[in-house]
Amino acid sequence: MSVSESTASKYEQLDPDVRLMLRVRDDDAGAFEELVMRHQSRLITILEHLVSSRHQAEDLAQDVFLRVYRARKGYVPVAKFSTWLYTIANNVARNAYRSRARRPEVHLGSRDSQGISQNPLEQLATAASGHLPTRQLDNFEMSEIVQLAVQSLNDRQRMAVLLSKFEEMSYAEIANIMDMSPQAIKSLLSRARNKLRETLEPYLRFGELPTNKAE
Amino acid sequence: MTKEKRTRAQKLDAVHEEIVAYLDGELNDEQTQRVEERLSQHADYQRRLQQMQHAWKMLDSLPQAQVDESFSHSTVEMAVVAAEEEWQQAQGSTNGNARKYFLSGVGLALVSAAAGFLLAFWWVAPSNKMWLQDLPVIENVDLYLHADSLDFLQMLHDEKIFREEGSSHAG
Repeated sequence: MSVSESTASKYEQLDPDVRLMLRVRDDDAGAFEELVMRHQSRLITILEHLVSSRHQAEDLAQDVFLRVYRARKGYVPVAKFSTWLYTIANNVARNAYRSRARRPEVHLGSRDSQGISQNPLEQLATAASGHLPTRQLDNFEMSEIVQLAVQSLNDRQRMAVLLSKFEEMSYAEIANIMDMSPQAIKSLLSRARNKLRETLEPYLRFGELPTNKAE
Repeated sequence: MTKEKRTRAQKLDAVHEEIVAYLDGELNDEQTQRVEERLSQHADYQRRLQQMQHAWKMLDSLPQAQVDESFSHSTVEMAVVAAEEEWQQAQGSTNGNARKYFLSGVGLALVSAAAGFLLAFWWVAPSNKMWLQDLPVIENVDLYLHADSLDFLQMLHDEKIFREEGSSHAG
């Protein structure tokens, strides 16, 4: 693919990560470490919510960074660095879903008093249908409920939601990463957020919204 | 699902899409103005937008990974190993090319030698045959010089007087 010099120059000026990546291309190991440190937490967070395992998320994140490193010699800035990074992450996560589907996990953990037939989402649905505790929810409980709500989304909805929420990406950027049209991303995110709204609605009415530590 | 219900569901989907796009800042000025007018006119529309907004804010409570320096160090170490592998592969490729060039050179030399031999055989063989044919004369050239006459020698040859002796000399 031929890229005009003005496009490459534009991204080099706009995006500090692109400048770092260009140094990585020239075999600057320090620049690579800086890139890893700048993105590792957010990348692992997103991957952890995608695969529901911290350990696997770290393995996948290392795989993503290594792919970036191996591809360094052919790097040309055609988009923001994060767009490229999460395109690779999306691909790696999809491969992880596929291999997990081929090797279904067998959970040998203890069964709770409600039995194995009722999964956490069913429990959440039960709570939403009227068995909600009247007391206010603490942050830990709220976090668990939100995690279950996110897990209830399908893989593509979850990826789009996480990129929008944690990376604050535009529809065009998410579309680029997920190889879909911006209009398709608009519909995907709308359905995903409406599903989250429906799942979390009882807690919106009765639960206490968690305080945002970042604010 | 009846046609009426399906139409209603589609309308609701369009409303949700519009609200979410508004919250995400993905609408143009005209579309934004339209949403804001609806917000001022319809309480239900406003309630839905607030629910979407609150549900989105609840995602702030999702745990965020805290990653220490050991992760970046081990990742960089893996990259160093990958770089060494790349270098070794490149070296292996260079050595392989050198070996290939050497063997090609040897092969070419052998073919050239064989071609040269055949060529020389073709050119030199007729003259060798002539020398071999004339070898008896060459060996006895001093004796023939004493005869001093080619006609006399031809006559001796025709009479077959010294033929056996000559043959044994030639042999």
